[in-house]
Amino acid sequence: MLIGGAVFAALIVLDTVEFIVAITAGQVLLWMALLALPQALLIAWFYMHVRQLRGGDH
Amino acid sequence: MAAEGRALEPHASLERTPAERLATNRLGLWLFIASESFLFAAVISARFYLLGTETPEDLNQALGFAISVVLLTSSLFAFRAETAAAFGDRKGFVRNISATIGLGLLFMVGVVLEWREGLEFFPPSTLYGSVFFTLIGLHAFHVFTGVVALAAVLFVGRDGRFVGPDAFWPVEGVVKYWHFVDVAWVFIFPTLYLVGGS
Repeated sequence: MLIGGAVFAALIVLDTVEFIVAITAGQVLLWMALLALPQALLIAWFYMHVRQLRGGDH
Repeated sequence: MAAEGRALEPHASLERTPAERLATNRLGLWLFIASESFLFAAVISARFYLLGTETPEDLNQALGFAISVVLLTSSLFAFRAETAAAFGDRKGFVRNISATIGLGLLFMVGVVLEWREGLEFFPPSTLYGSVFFTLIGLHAFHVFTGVVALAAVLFVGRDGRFVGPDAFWPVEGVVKYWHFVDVAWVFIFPTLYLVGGS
């Protein structure tokens, strides 16, 4: 449960930074990619337990 | 010929343990998620192919950000629901899956508001509107099916039949799907709302 909360906090921070960068900067395609990928990886690793595919347990 | 004379034995070697079945279920779900990812990737790439990083000025970025936060929050509750189910906490499962459904519905209300603004400022007849409504519509459909699946798991499993370390696969499956919907949005949000700046 603590991990879930920590991941959620990280996701909100990344999402907020992404939003602030977008409304303050101009062309931000690279920034968007750099900020979206960690969010997706956090969700896939901690929430979706992608490591189970390699035989890891829940 | 020799095979014709062989007695039919129960397929003991084909019977799988619960752990093997669970591994197969998970692999199947991940393959499904992978195939869905290609679908979203195709539509997202269409946005950049057709429009580059062009974004209309009337786009409500704040609303997009707000529903992003709602969806990310729903993923936290989905994670808690799965954890509660895995550890035998029926009340925790019911409470958290209900919160996930509520936030999913709230997200859909946000999508309706988006669509109302979109129809006014960039209708589907425009290039951006075409991409916007296709991508948002595709994602909203996945959110809708996710809410239906969550509600089904809640309704069938409210008595606790999906609670416990050996019984929570239905919860895990639908929650993984919900997280996938969240991952898709993580890419759709900047693609439609943020790329190109304010």
